[in-house]
Amino acid sequence: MNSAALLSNLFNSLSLASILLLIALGLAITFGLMRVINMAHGEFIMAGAYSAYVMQNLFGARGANWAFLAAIPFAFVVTAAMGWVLEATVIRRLYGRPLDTLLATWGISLMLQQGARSIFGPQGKSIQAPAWLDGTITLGALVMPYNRLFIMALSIACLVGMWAFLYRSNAGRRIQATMQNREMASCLGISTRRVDALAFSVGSGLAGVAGCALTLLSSIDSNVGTKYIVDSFMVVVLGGVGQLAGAFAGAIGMGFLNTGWEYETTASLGKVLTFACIIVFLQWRPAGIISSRSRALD
Amino acid sequence: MLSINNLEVGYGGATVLRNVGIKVETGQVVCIMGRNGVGKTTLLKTVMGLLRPTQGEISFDGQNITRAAPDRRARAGIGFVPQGREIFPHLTVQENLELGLEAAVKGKSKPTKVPDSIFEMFPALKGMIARRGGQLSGGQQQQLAIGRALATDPSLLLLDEPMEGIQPSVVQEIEHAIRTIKAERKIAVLLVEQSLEFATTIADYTYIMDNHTVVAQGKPGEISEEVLRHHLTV
Repeated sequence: MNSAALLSNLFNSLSLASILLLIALGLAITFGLMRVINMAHGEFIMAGAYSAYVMQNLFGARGANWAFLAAIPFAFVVTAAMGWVLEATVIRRLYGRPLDTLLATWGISLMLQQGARSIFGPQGKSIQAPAWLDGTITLGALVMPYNRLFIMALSIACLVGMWAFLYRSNAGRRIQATMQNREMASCLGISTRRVDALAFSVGSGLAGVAGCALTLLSSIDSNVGTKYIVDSFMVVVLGGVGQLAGAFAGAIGMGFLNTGWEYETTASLGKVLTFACIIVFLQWRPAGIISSRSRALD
Repeated sequence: MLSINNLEVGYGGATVLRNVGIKVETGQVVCIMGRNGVGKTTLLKTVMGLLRPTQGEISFDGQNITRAAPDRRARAGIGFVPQGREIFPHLTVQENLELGLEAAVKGKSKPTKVPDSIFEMFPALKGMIARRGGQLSGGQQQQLAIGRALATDPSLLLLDEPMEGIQPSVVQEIEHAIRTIKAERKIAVLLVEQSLEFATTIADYTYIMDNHTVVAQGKPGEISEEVLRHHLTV
């Protein structure tokens, strides 16, 4: 591999890692922290993507530059609300029953997909990227598109924002306490029901932001969620469930593995080899790259 | 202030408490004694709301709280130090203490800072403020658990065997802390205790439990040696 190919592979790995981080960040909360297997997480990503489409139509051609920026918070609110409803109606009744949760949320994911087809039609929708994201930065042989750089910045911003929320705010501390010891948290006056609803909404909202970002890369249809759901679970499991650093490590690991294998082989074989590597790695370290169980805490 | 009448609690068909009646007055230290497995921990968990009674009534400050959730009881002014301490292992000592402030009632001025009195009571905690709860020794965790429960100044403190499995030097500090609480007479304490010696010196009133119910009660000294030996010796 010459240095130009190396550089562009490095950039592609980081770019993929940032996308994986973005789609996995919400799951790091709902699955990693709350241990809820939400198969409809992919459809929250889809809802976020369609939110960008709705915003584009709302703003019209003149506002295309602003539509996308407005779409990000809008997508967060829409999917957070969807998550809140899902938690209150279905998931709350199924805590501690992972198989039932998996089946129920899978059913909901199918309903949401059909809902999207009914509302937006079966054909793919493309979202026009704002003009300020057209273009590239060229450094020698390395070409870096603005939209990829924007996704990197967005995922880092989301990671930092999530970190501050979870580890520096009162609400985040309540979430941590509840996830570490639910009974004791309630004995201290924390309404664990409210904590569950909040945590699940925030995790779902992040999926919406991810969906928004994905519209910069390709057109969207009702199957966009199913394309990403496996990857996002993989990132969380590979990184180690329970903390944000795990999702970050998992995304970086998977981004580099996938890009590397793809460069050496083909796209589909690269994916197979990536998953094979992850499976082997998890045999060796079942808790993932960053394990929250240290000896001192046992 | 706390009154329990005719309480019956069961786990999956097995009765763990039956016909239990207990009263705690404002500022009083009330001890519950008994051998392992007679239902003392179950009683405290039921007072806190972690277990639902099948029968009976719990009232606190004149309100019937029999069906209230634990977080409501905490906000009503009940602090709980469970057996096993239940410190949040991944959170720091500071964060554990700040979580104690969650029970602060809205309307009253809500404290945003852990009161200094906690650190006066347990000076050891001050030096470990940034450490994770899981890294503390058992005795330090117990001090942290008591400090956390006292952070919002509850009117009733439930203590489940606070000296159990703790090094002797810390036992003295915890005994001292309970005596301080008693001396100030602002917080009532419902204490589950194995040590007869400590119980008789601190308690205003004692209940002896055996076979899932209260079998004897009275001020320390009022209960005869014979009754104590019969129900407490293994």
